[in-house]
Amino acid sequence: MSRVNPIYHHSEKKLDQELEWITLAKSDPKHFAPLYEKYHEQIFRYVNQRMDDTELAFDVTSQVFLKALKNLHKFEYRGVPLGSWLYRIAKSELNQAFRDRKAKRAINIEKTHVATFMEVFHEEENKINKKRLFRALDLLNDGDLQLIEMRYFEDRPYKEMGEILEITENNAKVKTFRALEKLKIHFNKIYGNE
Amino acid sequence: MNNRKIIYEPEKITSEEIKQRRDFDNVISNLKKPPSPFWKLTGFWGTIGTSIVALLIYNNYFLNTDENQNNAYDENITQTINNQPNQLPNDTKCLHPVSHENDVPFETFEIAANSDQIITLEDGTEISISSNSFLTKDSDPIEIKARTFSSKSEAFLAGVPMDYNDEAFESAGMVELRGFQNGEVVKINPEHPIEVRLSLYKDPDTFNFYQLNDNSGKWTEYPVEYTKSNNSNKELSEITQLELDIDLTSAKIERIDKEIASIEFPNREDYNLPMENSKKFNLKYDPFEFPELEELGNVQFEALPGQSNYKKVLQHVWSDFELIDLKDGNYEVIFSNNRGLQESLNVRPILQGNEFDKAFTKYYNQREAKLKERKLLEEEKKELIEANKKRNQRLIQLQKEHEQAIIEARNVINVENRINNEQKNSLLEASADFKTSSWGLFNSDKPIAYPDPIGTPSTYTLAGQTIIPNEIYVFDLKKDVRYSYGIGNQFVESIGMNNNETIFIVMGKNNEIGYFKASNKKDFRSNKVKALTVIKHDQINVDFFKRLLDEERVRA
Repeated sequence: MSRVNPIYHHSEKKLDQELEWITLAKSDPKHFAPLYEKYHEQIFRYVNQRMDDTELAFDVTSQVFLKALKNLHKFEYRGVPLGSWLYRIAKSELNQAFRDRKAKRAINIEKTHVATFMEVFHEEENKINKKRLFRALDLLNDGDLQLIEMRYFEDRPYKEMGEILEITENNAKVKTFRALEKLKIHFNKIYGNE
Repeated sequence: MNNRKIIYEPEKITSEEIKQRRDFDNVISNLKKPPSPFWKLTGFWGTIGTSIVALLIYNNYFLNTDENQNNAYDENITQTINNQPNQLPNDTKCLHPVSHENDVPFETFEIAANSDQIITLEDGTEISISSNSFLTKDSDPIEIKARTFSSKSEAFLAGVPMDYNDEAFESAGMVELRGFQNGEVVKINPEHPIEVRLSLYKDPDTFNFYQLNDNSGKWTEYPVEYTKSNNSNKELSEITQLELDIDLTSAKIERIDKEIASIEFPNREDYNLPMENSKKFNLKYDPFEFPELEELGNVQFEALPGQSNYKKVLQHVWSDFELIDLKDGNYEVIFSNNRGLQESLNVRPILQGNEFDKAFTKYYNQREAKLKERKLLEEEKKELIEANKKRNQRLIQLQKEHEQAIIEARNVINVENRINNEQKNSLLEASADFKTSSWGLFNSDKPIAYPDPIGTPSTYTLAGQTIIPNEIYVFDLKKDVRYSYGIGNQFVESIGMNNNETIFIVMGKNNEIGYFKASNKKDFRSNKVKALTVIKHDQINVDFFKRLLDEERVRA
């Protein structure tokens, strides 16, 4: 599984650097440039993972940064990377796009992800099981799907998931486990020929 | 199903491609654009913007004439509202209620100007207002007036235009929202629009959503998100959830059982403690040959249970013995004497004295810890079993209710011998969720084509007098739609009907009002002179029209 967010784990030094950029950007948005460069790709990938239109994903990404800049004065540093705040804005912008029917909620799933689930479910990787998995994913509620996507599609550490979702690391772990159990139950209840 | 789109093996985008799409300058330039004033927003121009422009023109020309005082939200009118808070706000120009006295009433709410509020209307429609939803510096309370229309009768009585691009509207739910502060229309902050969850009484799958332009009386499409659940589905979803919870809990109980079974209690043997009522004896042995026994310190031996020759061993005097390590913690002792007698016993070393006390304490503590662990797991299991028991009871209850609801619904339909949409949808719970930064009328609608004209024009008589129809409203009792003639693009001379039971409400040029019925087209054509039944002034109310139009709708 490829790691989407290799730069998430920040040293104190990097966090300090971020804070400095944020402080400068609050007085002059131009200073946000290094943060934009740093987070653009991961926010885009987060958005694109959940959409069916790449061009629109780029637009939404721009909107995320625009909104972040507009609201930067409200941002309070809490010792976690700016990324978690940007992800929350991205989530909100995505929901807005779905509400406005500009885009359709999509689940982008790669072959390797299917293989991972089959391994976890102790099931053979074949066409029928793939179909069962897709249906089971569609049956998950938004919250559970979010957890599954973050953990299994995007390979995010629980710590980061907790910070994005504003829950504790342990809670993220427990919730993800439960979401996986639900997915498995849905999977087991579905038969490929349905 | 959430109907999400599954994209398998999506096209991969490289970091380089994403990098090329970075455009911070563009973000900055958008940031630096002054925020669009609300009067430049499309939504504003569609509604409030045009109404204000029209209002200015209107004020210039008509404000001082008495006969036009009821037609717009001008200063005089809002002042009147302020002075007489129990009165309805005056309708917008495009609304022509059949009777101003018996118009569909508004629900009125007085709320704080700067706090988060959720207003719930009688039909369950929710209006969410945030603390900065109003463009006002004044902290005086805001008066919100809202009314919903859940039937053809109400929309007709309130004079809501129901045409869209030469077609007639079938509505699934409609709401009118107005807001005032100190008697004046208060503006909504476009940055923090009001959020509305409009209760619908029909499945909105095939419905669009519209906002009425207060001045032109024309509907324009408006963004909305429909959410729906069926009471029946709601029960089913609770049933599904319960089943899921029961399954999950059962799986958890199974895991706890396994955990309990896998708890390893300490063995006395592991601590070299004697078994109760065991057969013990001392042996002298060479500590150099058996250093592991020497390590145990004060050691005795205990015969392993089930050895019948133990008594024989005790009955004889032995001159020699051999100790063999069985490599499983036990030893074999072979006793022999000079007369060639030989007996063998399997034994294990056990502790005595201080070593016994120490080992026993360790064993005891370990056993207590394991007992505690088992007790906790058993308690958890008990709670889970109890929770599942309750879930099962609820599940049985829901399944019964669900079956009963289906039976009852079928009975109702059978008794009345018809399947109408209202009944089918009486179990429906649906809403239209939208945001607005302008007051007005919002409608979940479906345009329906007008029926073909029925034929040559008729003559209409009311109380024996011929009247000239100004407007004719045609209500097909099998369809939830109102066809309006004499306004818009439809002429009273070319009214149409479907081949169903139909009510025609005719309004004369002198404000006379009457109605007639036709069972089908043949019935309509059978008599060219239509003798209208008079609708008296005191009959003009929602109940009368609901009875006339056979609308006994049950709101979900």
